[in-house]
Amino acid sequence: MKGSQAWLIVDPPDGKIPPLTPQAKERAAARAEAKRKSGRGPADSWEDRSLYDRCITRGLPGSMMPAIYGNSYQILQAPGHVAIRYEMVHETRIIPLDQRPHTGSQIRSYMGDARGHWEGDTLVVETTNFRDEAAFRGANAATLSLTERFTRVAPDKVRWAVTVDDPETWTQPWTFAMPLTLDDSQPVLEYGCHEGNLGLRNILKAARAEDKKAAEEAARKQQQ
Amino acid sequence: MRSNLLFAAQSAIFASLMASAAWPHHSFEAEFDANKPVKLRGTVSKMDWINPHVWIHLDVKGADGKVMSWMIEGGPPNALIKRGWTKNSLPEGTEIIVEGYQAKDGDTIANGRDLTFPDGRKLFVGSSGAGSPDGKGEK
Repeated sequence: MKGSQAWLIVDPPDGKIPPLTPQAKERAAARAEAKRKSGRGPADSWEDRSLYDRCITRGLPGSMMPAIYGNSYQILQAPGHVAIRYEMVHETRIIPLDQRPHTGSQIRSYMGDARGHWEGDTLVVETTNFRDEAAFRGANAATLSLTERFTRVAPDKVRWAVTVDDPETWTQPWTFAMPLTLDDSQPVLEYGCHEGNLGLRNILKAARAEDKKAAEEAARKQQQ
Repeated sequence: MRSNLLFAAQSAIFASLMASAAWPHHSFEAEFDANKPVKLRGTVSKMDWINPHVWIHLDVKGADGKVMSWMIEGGPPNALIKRGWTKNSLPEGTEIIVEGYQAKDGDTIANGRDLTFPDGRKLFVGSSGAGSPDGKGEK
């Protein structure tokens, strides 16, 4: 811990995420219904696990957000680009600063398509073109835009503010902010995610053991 | 004048603004059984320094003299390094006592909680704490 604070919603002023739009509620209900209809359990297969469990991505802003561990990241500046490398789960965002337009709307990625520019001493990064599976908080991937503002406010501190805008999901844009704190004591270690992902194997093994137990229990009840 | 953002950052506060619903990557209850505490005495055969968790391979001699191979899940490498671990902390052949919880399917895999050397010294194992009975792990 380096005297950091957790993320806080700074806009709207009441500090609350704005209400969902009717479309967003319909999408959430449709997802829940599809899940129910599929009859699948939480760990029938690896495909039932989250993208994070499966070593695919923590998405955006997920990758920037502090979680249980492995939160080191490194921000590197080069001429024309900024790169952010994350320990967990071994991803790097490459942010071009040359004002090029976003890629076509058909080209989507888990971390989105980022474009950066400077406003004074603040690096502004706008990211769009997300994939449905990785869209922040169930947003509509096609209309979601995240605008990050990185401002160095002290030698060891960058203020990071993110404006979340998706008219298909929230009734108004909202912004949260968090300080990013320099910590030289914790380097970004390699994250051989699949190699080290014994957790996924153990989750599936545990689920099979529970299935077996439930089946035995059911058979026992039937005999009675 | 553009700011210099060159920066290595780490934010250690627990927050819940995640893209996915949870972090069952290594949530305790999805893998381990709180009703199966184990206390294992054995010798280290190998230590894997890998993300997201280190794994201690332990040869444990049973009452029948048979040696069983156990795998003990520890904390993330970065957390253990911060706690003073080095790659030489558990050389092959070291005798240790590990307390933890066994895998739900009864495999010889455990979530490590406390690690003690025969002389009483202790090492923090710091495994996945989310949802574990004593919540001692790294969260």
